[in-house]
Amino acid sequence: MMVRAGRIGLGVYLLADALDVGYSYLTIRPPVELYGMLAGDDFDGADATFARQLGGGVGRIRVLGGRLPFETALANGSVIDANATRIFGITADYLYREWQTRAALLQIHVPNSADPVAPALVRTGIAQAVALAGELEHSPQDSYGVVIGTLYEGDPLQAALVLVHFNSDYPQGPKFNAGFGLVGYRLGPLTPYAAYSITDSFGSARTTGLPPLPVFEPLIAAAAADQTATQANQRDLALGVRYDFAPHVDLKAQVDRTWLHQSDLIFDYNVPPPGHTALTIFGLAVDFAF
Amino acid sequence: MRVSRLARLTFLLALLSLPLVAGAHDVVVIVNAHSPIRGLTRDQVIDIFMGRLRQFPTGAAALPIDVSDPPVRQAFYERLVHKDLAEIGSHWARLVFSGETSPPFRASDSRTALKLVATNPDAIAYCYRSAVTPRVKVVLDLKP
Repeated sequence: MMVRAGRIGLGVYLLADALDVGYSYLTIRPPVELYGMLAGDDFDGADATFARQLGGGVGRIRVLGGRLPFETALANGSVIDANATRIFGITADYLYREWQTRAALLQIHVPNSADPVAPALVRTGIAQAVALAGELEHSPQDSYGVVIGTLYEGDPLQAALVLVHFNSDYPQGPKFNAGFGLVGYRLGPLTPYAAYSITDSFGSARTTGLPPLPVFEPLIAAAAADQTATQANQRDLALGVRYDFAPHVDLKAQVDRTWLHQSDLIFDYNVPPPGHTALTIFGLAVDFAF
Repeated sequence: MRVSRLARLTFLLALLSLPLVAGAHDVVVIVNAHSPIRGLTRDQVIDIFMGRLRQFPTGAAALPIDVSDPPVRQAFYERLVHKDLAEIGSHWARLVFSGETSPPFRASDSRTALKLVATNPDAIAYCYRSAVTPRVKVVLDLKP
């Protein structure tokens, strides 16, 4: 058994659990459609891992819990500081030869939440708006996630598939389905690869019940934006090649075609996507580890 | 044509020495000569050297030792998991920087690795078959 305490990597996705170490994964960056949907990739707390031989391979159970130390920026430019947020989870892995399979359950718990729009909704005195304010500031707030994935690290073929489902019991919470697939084929020091990632938020904003009058329009818009601030609907197709030209050093070249629809995961907040938008991104990176 | 006795003897000696020469570059996995481990499967060695489980099948702790010497290290991982050293480096980068585990202890050469195995009952390492000494024993033969 292994027990750790301190700032620990979340490690619920199979690939790129060391997000800042590009040398440790195949693509030029981890898929933002997965990693961008969870605020923070590490937590302050503890975890315990139990491993034993099972069949011809190794079975592993990990339990984790702690505080998520994160700030997250929303598309409207505001920043949420949520250092009181707690995370609890359990992961189960089975490793056999070139295969690794993982299933994970996560709970994100916000003990107290103050919503910026709720006070204005309460001041309207309109019953539906007041009720919505109560839901927006409902405490505590909980989100639940399920992750399943499988990884094949053979030679020359390597592949990965990760699927994620997240839901929340409050209007502003993360509600999305996401997935990531990757195939790479090693040819000597070169590994060409293709990756596809997708995230789709579900659930629509609850209405305020306010009449569509000019005096209420800003508040109606703010309430809708508040509930959809963490939504993202985005797909990405990446083609690239990794070149291991020296020990502990690699060069990666990648081109991404990204399709966005009202996504929070865009690079430039000054160019709001009114509807569907597509980007082509060229990337070149040198990674090294020492 | 009559073949001289010397020629026949030379030919016979060459035939007999062929397995020795051919096996000299077999990569073998070794443990301490007094270890209760009699043999390991390839999957069990993978689990130990790839950071999955640092235990022998008996439940005793395993201390894997890597050898810095590139030819034998490359041959070991090529035959064990069909990966080159760049892929092994990437694999350990993922595990180390996510804090999951640490890579095997690195011995400077095969001689040092053998000495460590000979003096530590938990140690497990690899070397060419020709380097094996009576103070260690072979638990797996990784033939090409």
